[in-house]
Amino acid sequence: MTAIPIEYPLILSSALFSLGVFGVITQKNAVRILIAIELIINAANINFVTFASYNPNADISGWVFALFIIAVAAGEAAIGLAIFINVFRNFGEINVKHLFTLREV
Amino acid sequence: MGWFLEANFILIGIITILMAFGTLSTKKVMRAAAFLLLTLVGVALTYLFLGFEFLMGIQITVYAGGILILFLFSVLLTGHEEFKMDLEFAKENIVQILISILLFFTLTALMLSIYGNYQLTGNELVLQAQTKGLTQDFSVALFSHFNYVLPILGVLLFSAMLGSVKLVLREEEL
Amino acid sequence: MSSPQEFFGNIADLIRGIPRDIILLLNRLPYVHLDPENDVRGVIVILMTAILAIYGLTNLLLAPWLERKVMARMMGRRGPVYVGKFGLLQLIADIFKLISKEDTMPMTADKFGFNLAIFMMGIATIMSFAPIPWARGVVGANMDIGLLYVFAVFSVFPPAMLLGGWASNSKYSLIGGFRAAAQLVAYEIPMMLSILGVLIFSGSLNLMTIVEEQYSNGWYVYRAFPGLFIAFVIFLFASLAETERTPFDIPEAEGELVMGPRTEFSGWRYAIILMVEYIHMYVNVILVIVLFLGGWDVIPVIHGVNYPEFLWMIKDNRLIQFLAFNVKIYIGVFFVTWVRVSFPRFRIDQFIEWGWKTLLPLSFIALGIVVVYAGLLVA
Repeated sequence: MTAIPIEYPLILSSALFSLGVFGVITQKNAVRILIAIELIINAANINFVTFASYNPNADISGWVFALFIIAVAAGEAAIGLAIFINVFRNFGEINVKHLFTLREV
Repeated sequence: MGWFLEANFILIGIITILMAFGTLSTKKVMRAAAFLLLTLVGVALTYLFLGFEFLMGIQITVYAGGILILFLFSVLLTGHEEFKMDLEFAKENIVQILISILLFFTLTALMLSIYGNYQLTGNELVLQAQTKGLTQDFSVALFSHFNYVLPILGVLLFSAMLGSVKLVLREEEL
Repeated sequence: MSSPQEFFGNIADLIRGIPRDIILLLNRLPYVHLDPENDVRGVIVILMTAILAIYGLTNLLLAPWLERKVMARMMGRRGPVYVGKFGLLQLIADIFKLISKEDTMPMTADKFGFNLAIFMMGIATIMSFAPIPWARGVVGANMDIGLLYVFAVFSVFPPAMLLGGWASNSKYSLIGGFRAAAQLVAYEIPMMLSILGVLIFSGSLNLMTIVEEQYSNGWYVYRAFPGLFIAFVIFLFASLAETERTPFDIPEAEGELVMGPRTEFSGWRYAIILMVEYIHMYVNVILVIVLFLGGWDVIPVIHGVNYPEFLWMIKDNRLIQFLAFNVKIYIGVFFVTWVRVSFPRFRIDQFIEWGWKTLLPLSFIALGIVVVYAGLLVA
């Protein structure tokens, strides 16, 4: 019986990762930046699962790590979005280009 | 029937990448969240191909059902301006585009050069998962060798919940 | 002529056998080397799921009719009478009417979100039939994560509702979508917590294993009394809330929000929405039965009581199991209709508060009772 070669998930994860990085450095809406970060997290997660699954020693600690990452991502999204909602209440927008109250222009 | 699995994986991978590009290139933020949902489902199907069906369920339940609701709510609660990814955008961000393309090729080349020969040594868990379910092994590991994971996650998520509730509640409501 | 039981078992074996025969035929061709044991598993799963889903959908034509008839009788009306005998074909007539209508979409609607919401909900509901056991060994996909799979499939509903509500570009739809998402998220958590008690006893997420465990040790409603009974009641209420049945149909409260998130959907889209609602209700009834009421088990085992031989023969008969499962489903549909007719609608803030502040602590208490009971059982 055959399974898919290891190249495919690795290429998928690196594509998702670079798309996520692209989003983080180009987007201006804070929520969209968070969405791009979710893409990065998913790319990392694919890599964890892939390396655990293709490990010749059949070690599943990578899977446990993937579970951990999903929970951490949930916490991160909750806190980040709460912060953005507060930012929106205080400034009326969440465009990161215009949020520079802590530094001089 | 290896080619069938491979073809399916390639199809799902291409769709996932297209959807991920959609999250970044679409005009409205709500649409970006919708594309994110499809990306997450695609990633979940990838986990299924990698022999980890349990994480597929968790990914769709927690990510698509839980986190995405947060995104949709917060998009609707914080105004969403229009955004355009056109030729002008490409001209302004030519450096960033080049950086991410370079990043993609570097990452792919690095990972393939280091781990590309892993298939020769064997993909044990994938093969095992195709013959017998590994969900039981995973849960046994979660409650024996990795028994610290779930309590830590509980504390983490509880503190995140309290923190976000404290952040969002207005002063007069407290 | 074989007995009905053998006949029924033979059908299941036959379905499993067909793909294998096709593979063996294909192997006679040059350059084809297929393994009949491993290569056909996916085909069998797809075939069985398709057959059982079609069976379920055919049943679905009857369930709304039953609901309308029962509701009409309880309200002192007669219900559908004209189309077919006793109005049995009313739903088919409705579907044809809806499909043949003009396909309209609001001009300002977001086309992508509008269509995506419909397709996501339609596909998800059909997919939810896969892991449901209809009798011993009669199942579409016997997967280890069956229960998690069903919940994963249904957990795309809140985003779909919110997306559809937003994409319709109507304030009623948006408010309805908000309400739907808030309600579904609030009631998903007590639902999940009430399942944990069941999982402690079954030790598996596989729906087949859960039913087999109830077959040999008794249904979960009355075990670990009152822990799992409280969990059962919580699950019932939560699943009614999840399916937005009438006492809890706050998102589409027709007096305030026209039709909630469904306001702008018309024609075949509305037909799909109707189908999704009914299948969601139907599958939730099935879940209640599988998790707490013994699934296809006919006679509940009571601890310490010895049953005579013929009762075990009845319990083991696959045809009787299948029929018993169907009867249970129809009793469940009747119950859901009864609740729908009898109770007035809640107010949204009361309802969300009830979910978070009453059902959630109650499900923790139920889980605690089950844990203590299971601990005593082990000790």
